[in-house]
Amino acid sequence: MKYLPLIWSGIWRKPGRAVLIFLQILFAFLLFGLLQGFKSGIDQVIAQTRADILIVHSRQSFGQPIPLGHFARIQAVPGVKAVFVQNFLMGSYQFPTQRILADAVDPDLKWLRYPGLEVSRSDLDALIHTRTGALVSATLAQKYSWKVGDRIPLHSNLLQENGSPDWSFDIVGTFRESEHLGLDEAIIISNDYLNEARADKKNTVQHFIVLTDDPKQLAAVAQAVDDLFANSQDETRTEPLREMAQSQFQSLGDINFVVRSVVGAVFFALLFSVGAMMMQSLRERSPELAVLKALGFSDGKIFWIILLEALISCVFAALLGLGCAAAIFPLAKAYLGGLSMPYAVAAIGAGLAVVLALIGAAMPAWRGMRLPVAEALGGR
Amino acid sequence: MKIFKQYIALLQLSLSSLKDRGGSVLVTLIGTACVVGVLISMLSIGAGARAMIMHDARADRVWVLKHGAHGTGDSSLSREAVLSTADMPGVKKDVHDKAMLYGAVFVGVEGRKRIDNARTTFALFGVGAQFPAVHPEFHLTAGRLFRPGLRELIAGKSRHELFKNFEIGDHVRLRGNEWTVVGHFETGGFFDGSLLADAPTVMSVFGISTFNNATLMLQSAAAFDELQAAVRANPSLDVELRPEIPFMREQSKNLSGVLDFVSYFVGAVMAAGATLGAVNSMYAIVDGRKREIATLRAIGFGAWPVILAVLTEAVLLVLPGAVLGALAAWSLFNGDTVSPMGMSFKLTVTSDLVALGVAWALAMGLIGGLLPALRAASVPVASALRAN
Repeated sequence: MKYLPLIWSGIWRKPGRAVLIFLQILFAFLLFGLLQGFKSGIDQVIAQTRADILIVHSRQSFGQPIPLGHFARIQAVPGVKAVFVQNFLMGSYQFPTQRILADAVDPDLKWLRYPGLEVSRSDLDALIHTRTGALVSATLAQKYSWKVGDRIPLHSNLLQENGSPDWSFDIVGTFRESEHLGLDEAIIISNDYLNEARADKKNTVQHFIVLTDDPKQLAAVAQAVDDLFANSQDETRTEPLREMAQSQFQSLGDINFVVRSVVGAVFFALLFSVGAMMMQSLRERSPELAVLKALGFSDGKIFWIILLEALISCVFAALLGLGCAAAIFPLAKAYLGGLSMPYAVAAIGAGLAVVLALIGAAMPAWRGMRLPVAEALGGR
Repeated sequence: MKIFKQYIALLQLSLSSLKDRGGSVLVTLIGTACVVGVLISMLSIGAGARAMIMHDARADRVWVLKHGAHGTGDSSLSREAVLSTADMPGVKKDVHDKAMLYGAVFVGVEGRKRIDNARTTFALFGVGAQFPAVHPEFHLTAGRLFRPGLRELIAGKSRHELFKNFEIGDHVRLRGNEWTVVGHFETGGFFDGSLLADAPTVMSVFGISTFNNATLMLQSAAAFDELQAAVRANPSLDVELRPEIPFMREQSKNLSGVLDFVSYFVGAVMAAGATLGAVNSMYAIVDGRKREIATLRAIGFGAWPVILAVLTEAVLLVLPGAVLGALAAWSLFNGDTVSPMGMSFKLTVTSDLVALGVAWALAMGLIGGLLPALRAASVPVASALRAN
């Protein structure tokens, strides 16, 4: 501890250079935090996805509608706790750029039990009793200053029976999502109303959400559901929600590879920078280090002083960079989809900073340790 | 002239002493190479997507969408609208005097990749009989065309090459029915990642009553105005004409826009870091040469040649780095096939991208060299000569 002032003055020996290398490390870790944070954030979302939920959709592809009539038959499958209907109406509010997803459900008290969704009993009651009712997400309510009783117009390419593309819904309450359901900027409407009012695709749904009794029985229940509709016009594919989330992110491409390559390139370049900077600083300070040695500092102490200098500046800059990254996540919600940077990423980052400092400073520290006192003092 | 001579002399001094500054040189070189390499590699994804989509876009082809639709996905056209558009002036006719126009409908189907069995959704287009006429770039590479009324389909090049079960004779199960793969085709562009089948068959099997869009061939690119006027003169026709080149460019932006944003963002943060590294290196180089510079200033060298020489040196240091980075990007990734979100295309390192990478490197060199150059020019002659 008593060497701290010595180390500190070593770091700030050339303030301009110290600031530059500090910023360079900061930028590198900012990028690391964002990229690795995005990747780990996705993994976290997948890992947090409930393991007891199945999605029943068309065997064709995910977007293909399936008959509403499947509902009762799925509900009768042993192991099924509850079945939820999900239909979508994509619309825009006021401007074409303000896209809003309307999630059409069968309004029923069982939604109180729906995982990840927080809705009050009274709001749900209101939705059940209002045909054109809508529950709006707390985020949207705040964004557009909506309140209960407002009537919101949505322009959609899904036409009503009378040919009109303009829908309107009465706000009867709000909801909040406590898990990532993708409904943060959505409204929940009644599927009965949507189904009756739309011109096309009557009596179909996008998919069913099936809550099962036992996650261990997931595969058996899925098979039982698909067997019900095998060889019919509307064959189904029933998959665990978690697997679907996984494959959805996989379809984006090999994010892992991109993140690893970029981070690798960044640290490769940074390693050279830090190493060269430390060597340069060592050359300039040879006489000073020689003085320390002459005063009785052991070789080991010189080694540690140089190493600690690198460690302190690297770790401090890295933490600041990671902090900036963590702060950017909530700001860039639109791009990052409301992900947050897991703490593990900060820990990995700090570890990387230590490794960076150790490798970058090992050679200069070694040289410093072996510095011949007489020659260095003579400035040769 | 004097300035120029001094500049050359200084530059020679700089370059001759570079070998003693291996560390600083390497930092700048590698820093630049990493930035340029990453930037070009990432941009090559977007460039590949654009190249794929734009490959066979033609000035004399027009996409017909429902008025106000963003793309084919949210567009729907009635049979009547398609038929009456075909009768409009400006639409090219084939030898049998039939309009070169077809209505198209698409549905998503799933397939599994050969390489990792990963499931991806891609498009099955139901198209009319005039499809080959409207797309002269279309040709079969094996098998035959699907026949109207039958559940037959043909698979695009990247579809059957990358995905399982699309060999000729294979059966694909769609809506409870077996469909037979009867041919393979190639267009070199947009359609290569999809399946094609007979539109009326697709519509009846999938219970779809309207087309998504129609595509037509003009008599010539100049005939567009004539067609546009005729369509506008018919108030019952609620369609919008989109010439293929701008339409495809717009569609490609949906995909490559995000990719490009991410690429530039990552590139910019990396470049900021590497520029700081270059500043540091150049400072070190200039500091190590203080006495020489002071000597030259003492014998009458001006400030400008000093500044120019340092800037030139910085640029000369980053340029090989840029070339190295571009080369790495090209040799590692150019031509690699990626298939995000059901599409397939090759990463393309174009000359434009290389030029862009070099431009970034130049900017990094100039910005990174500026402060050190100013410091070199303002070296206090007397004290620098006395030092050490």
